[in-house]
Amino acid sequence: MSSTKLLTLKTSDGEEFKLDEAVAVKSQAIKNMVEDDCVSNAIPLPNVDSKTMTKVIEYWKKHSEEGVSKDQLNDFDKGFLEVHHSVLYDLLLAANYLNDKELVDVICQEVADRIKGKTPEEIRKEFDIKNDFTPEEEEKIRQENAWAFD
Amino acid sequence: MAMLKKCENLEFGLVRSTSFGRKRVCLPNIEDLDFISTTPKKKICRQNSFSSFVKSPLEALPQDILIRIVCGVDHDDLKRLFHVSKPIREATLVAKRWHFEYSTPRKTVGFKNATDLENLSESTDAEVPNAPRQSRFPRSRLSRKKLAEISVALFTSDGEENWPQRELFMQMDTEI
Repeated sequence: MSSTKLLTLKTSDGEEFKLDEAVAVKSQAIKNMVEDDCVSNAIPLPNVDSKTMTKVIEYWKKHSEEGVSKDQLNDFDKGFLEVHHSVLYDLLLAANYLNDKELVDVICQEVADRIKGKTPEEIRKEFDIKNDFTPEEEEKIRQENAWAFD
Repeated sequence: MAMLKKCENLEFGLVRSTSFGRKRVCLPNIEDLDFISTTPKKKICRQNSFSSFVKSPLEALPQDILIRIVCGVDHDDLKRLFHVSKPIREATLVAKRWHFEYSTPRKTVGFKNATDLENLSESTDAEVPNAPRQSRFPRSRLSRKKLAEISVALFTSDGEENWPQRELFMQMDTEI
């Protein structure tokens, strides 16, 4: 009989998630707590809400499944990341807080892919960024770029 | 005395005055040094003070995460990111220094015809622009000719005709 230890994670909005320890240790932060033996009670995660935690656990479970091919994982990741920017940011901050390097890298690459190939104006529009350069500063940057990148 | 009064007017409290030659300098009391050493803080005026408070969600991310995101874009996107906004520019500068200066840009090809597209996918990483050429075996930078010009033989060799000095010596011998 295999001993699957269950961990309880408590999010900022008070919801509790029970999870296999083997899956939860994808988070380096949780892994450290397990190793330091301070997981007898629920692990508080004040920086993560339940909505985001649900998504993170969904990712962890899929990537812990046995018998899943690399292509299947890639397809899953694609669908998983096809969400609005705001959801991605919440996921990114949660993954960063939980210290899951793999998830952070995957989400960062997704955001980077959304930036690729766009003009500055398109980037600003896509990510709702305000142009805080004055015309003089813009001109200065254009001149600096001329030698920096050629 | 008059000078003391003058110094008092500057609100330094009790002051000592010393004279260095012709110049007279008012020195403040030690207690008042703190008052003098702390200059009023410079007011930082921002032209667009309102926009600096309203940050987009992307810019509100911690800078180290922003830098990681920028590391995922292509070299060409860096130029464009410079123009987006100040926080993005800062992150791009750091990413450029840490990441892009140690990686080679990908080759971008202008498509001549449809058949090229098929071949491209096979050889995207085969050639890279401006990458230093590396030969399999290290090429010796010295050719034989160069070597002969700069080298000096230190030991005698079989070919005595290479030694004009010896000949001279022999000639001198015979003369004597």
